[in-house]
Amino acid sequence: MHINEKKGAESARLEHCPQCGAVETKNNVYFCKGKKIRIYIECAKCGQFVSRYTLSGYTSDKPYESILERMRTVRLNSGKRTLEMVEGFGDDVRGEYEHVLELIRTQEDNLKIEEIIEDDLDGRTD
Amino acid sequence: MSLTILTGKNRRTVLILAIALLAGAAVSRIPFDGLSEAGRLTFGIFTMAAILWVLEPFPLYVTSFIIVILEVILLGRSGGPLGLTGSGYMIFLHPFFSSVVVLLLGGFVMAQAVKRYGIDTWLLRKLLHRGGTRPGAVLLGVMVMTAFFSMWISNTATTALMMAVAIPVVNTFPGNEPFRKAIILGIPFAANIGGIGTPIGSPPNAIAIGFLEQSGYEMTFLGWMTIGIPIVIVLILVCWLILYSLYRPKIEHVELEVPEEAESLDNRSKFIIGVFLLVVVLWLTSALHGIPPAITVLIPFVVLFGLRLLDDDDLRELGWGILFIVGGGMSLGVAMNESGLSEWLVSQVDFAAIGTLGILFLFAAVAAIMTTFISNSATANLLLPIVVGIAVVSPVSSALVVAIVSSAAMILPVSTPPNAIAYGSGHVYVREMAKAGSIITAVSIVFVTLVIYFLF
Repeated sequence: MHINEKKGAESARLEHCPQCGAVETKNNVYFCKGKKIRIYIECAKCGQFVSRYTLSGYTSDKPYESILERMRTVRLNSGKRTLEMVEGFGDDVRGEYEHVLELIRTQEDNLKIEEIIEDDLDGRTD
Repeated sequence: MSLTILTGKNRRTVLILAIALLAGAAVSRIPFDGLSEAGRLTFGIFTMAAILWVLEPFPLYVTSFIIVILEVILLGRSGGPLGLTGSGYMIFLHPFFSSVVVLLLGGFVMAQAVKRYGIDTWLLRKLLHRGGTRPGAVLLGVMVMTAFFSMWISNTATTALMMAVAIPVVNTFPGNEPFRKAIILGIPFAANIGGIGTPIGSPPNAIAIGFLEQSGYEMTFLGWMTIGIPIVIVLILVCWLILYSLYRPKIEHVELEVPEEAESLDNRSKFIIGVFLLVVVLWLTSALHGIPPAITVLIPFVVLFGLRLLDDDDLRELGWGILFIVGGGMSLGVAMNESGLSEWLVSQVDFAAIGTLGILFLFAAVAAIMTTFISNSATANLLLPIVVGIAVVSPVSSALVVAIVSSAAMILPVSTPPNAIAYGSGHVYVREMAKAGSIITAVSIVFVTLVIYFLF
């Protein structure tokens, strides 16, 4: 079943440690030339492995620098589209961040992260 | 379930699409004197494509597929006005895997490998260490490097790469330092100009080569570079002079922040550079061995994906949209030729009275005006099928002028993706970009037209 059919088009959830249930985590970022960047999430309380994410895009607190990195891969042919992306990028990221915090605060999903991801991606995980 | 996709931006999309289709339908029903039914239908498709490529209600490549759908339904069906039968409609699909599309595809594969293994940043660091600190020399060095990179990888990727180096540097300048604008404008302008240098540097180049092929003219890789590189060198120098004059530095030294020593390349990166160099050599010597560049360029595709140096993720990132834009434009060109529309359009103007030089200036000016507001690929797609059909001027001259000026016009932030990226940095105003860009565009129109006029 697709997430949209189940409970609307969006969902947000804090990641919990499977061992102790803590929400405090550490991001261990792995770089290897020629490979996708991987982030290994570790529980900050008990040190348990929580999950691994494969990075497809990255945005720092300096959105312009982040979009420069993204532009190195995306091949654009339209100045109009590029300008829309560049100008809107920072606001889009900030706006979405605020929205996600609000979702967590008001209607946090009660499913586990992996259940949400599996529903959303129809079982495609990395 | 409510129809929620028809909200916001999509309403505008549907509205513009409807207007474009209605305008196309209206044009196709006008009984133009001397234009066949197939020609009128193609004129309608051309009108619709022009509206969609100008207003961009959706990505440009979507228009390419609408063109093909309409071509096949209106022109290519059995018993249709072109008299095609059976699989005759395939003439509209062939351009999507034409030699220039394959050439661009191979170029994208090499650029992807260069980016993935950090070869571009490695080379950039190596080169930056050799530069001085005098502002004029730094600006020229940055522009030359930008132009060089954009001959081989996309203008957008090059601008992003170079801006990432430039932004931290200009941020250290005093607040009223005018030279920051020279650097911020120099990068996109050099990327636009550098793209002129090779057939894979910018889509209009490949589109021009494709249309020339359709008209029976061959433009080799080396042939293009022989014309393109000198033009790039001159325009870069002119651009540097203009920017340096407009934004004279108050500071005496500019220190580029690069790591002390670029790390050495690993074996995979060296192998990729070897493949890259082999392909370039084979491109430049195609007249000797007879292997077309479009086939040579499949070598990196086979080798890099075959040896798993690139994977499915890289395949997805290969800029398919640009390939479809090029294919769509060339497919439109096929319809315009087959239906006689190109010939009819050209016959409506007495070009002989304008003279060859006048015609080339006219093409250059029209290309510059169009590409100031719309994508340079769309400009090339719309103009090239018309201009290569004019008998009083060599098709090679017409195609080169349109393709090169399409890359050299850079007045507004929306004119090219590199301009948009530089403007997004917040370091330059539109009027500043327009002032410098207008001068460079005007110089390019005159210079390119004269060079092509005297060469051919």
